Order: sequence, then structure tokens, then C-alpha cells
Amino acid sequence: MIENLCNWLAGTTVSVAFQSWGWFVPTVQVVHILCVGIVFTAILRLSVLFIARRADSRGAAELWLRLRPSVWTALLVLLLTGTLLTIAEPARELLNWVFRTKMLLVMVLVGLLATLPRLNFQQATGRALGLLLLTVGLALITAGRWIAYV
Amino acid sequence: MFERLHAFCKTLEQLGFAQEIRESSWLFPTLETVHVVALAVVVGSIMSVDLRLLGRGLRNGPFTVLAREMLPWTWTAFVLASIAGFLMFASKAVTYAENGPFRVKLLLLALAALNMAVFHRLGMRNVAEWDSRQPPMAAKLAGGASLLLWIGVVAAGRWIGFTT
Repeated sequence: MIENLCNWLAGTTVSVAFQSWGWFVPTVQVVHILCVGIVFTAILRLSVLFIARRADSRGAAELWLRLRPSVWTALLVLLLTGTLLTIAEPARELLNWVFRTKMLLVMVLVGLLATLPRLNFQQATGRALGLLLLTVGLALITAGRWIAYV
Repeated sequence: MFERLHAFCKTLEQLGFAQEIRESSWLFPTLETVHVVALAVVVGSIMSVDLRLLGRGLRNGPFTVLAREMLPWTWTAFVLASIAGFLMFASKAVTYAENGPFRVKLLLLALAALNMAVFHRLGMRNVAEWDSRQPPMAAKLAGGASLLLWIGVVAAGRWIGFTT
């Protein structure tokens, strides 16, 4: 079923156009990587605050309030560029188990970030949350790079 | 000079560790992953400082506080990215040395370093006057140039993958 979807998508006018423009995929990938930089740096700063300084929910909320606009904007651009890349190369993405794992991790990350302001946690929980955020962030980038190799 | 560079690259890629990276099925992708993670932090941290210089992100507070907070991240990640980058380069040194986007990437990195050095020497002199306000035009220009140069570094880096 997914193979049929890939074949259909690869044959659409939009996909054929994207495939024929040699500059398209690398250019969209550049925007994608820049946004990954914004999101991952924010994750790193939050995680370190949780892990090293053992912040409580108030300290984390203050930092998250400053980072939130740029992170959500970058995540939206990532969704858009990711969709464009999938349209350009459907089989490379949709049939790849690493890509599917990446999508699952994206959902976990978005869920974590969305619930962050509503969480009321103590220092110990914050540390675990920091480790989880960092692990998900690292796994996401790793999966993103390994799509090309699997 | 180019002959010497070519000979150096040839010697480099024949070293044991370079051959191992080239022949392994997992070493190169792993190094590339480390390179991308580190580069994401370099670019992400530099972009937040550049955007503050351009007058965006004023909610991040005084410029010096943000710069002091980001600088250790930038340098640590830059060292990591450089080590991983060198190891990847060593695996196919001749190919990379002859690659156009790779040369452009090195040139843009040098220009970004020069821009940063000039800004630290001249632009930071009167930082106390604008630390919590809109930066002056010179600082905005330095921030804009840095932003463009680092976008160029990422773009050139991505193009290497499509041209080697």
C-alpha cells in the first residue's frame, strides 16, 4: 500500500518537477538543517539546565518562554521542508524504517515540548526530563542522517 | 604549491585510520552524524547571537549575557565538528581537496572567522552603550554578515554530498 502511494506520489507533476530541478533537494535540505540547528540548540540548552543545574519547573519555564517562539517557528519550517523532501523523493523516505523512526521521534519531541509549560515537576524529575529531551534530540539528528545510508 | 597539497592529501588518505574510515560501512556515516550534530549546535548558537545583533530576539536580554551563554556551546561544538570533519576529509582527501563546494566551505569558514575577529576587536568596544538596546549599524552589519556566511557554510557543506 505504501509502495503504491510512493509510486503515485513520484509520478505527480509536483514531484516530477522537484526531481528535475537539481538544486531543489539540496536547497530544501539546507533550510531543513538550519532549522534543525535552532531546535537542537534550544533542546541542548534546556536539557543542560535540567541535568546540570537541576532546575525546577519555574526555571525551565522561564527559559522555555524565551526559546518557544523560535523553536515552534523552526518546527513549522521543518514540517514544510520535510514534506517537500518527501514529495521529491517518496520512496527514499516513506519506505525507509529509519524515516519512520524519525517521524515517531518527532511526535515524541513535539509532545514533550507541548507539555513542558504545563508540567509542574521537582528537580529529580527535571533531570530525567532533560536526559529524555537530549536523547530524543540526538536520536532525531542521527536518524535524519542515516536515512541516506539505510 | 598545488602539487605539494596534492601530495599531502595523497599521503593523508593512505594513512591507516583514513583507510579504515573509507573501507568501513559504519565509520563514515557515524562521523558524519557527529559532524551534523556539532554543526547544528554551532549554527544554532551563532544564529541566536547574530539575530540579537540584528535587533531580533531582544527578549533574550543584554547582548553580552547571551553571547557569554552561547560562546562555550559554539566553541565546544566547533572543535567537535572540526575533528569529525578532518577525519571525513582524510578518508578521501584528494577528492575533497579538488571539490569546488569543499573549497567554498573552507573560504566561507575563514571569512566567518575574520568577521568575528573584526567584530570582537572593533564592534565590542562600546558594547556597554547598546548592550540592552538596539545595536548600532556596524554591529548589525557584522551580525548580518555572520548569518549569511554560516548559511553559506551549511549550503556548501550540503553541496559537497551532491558533488563527490
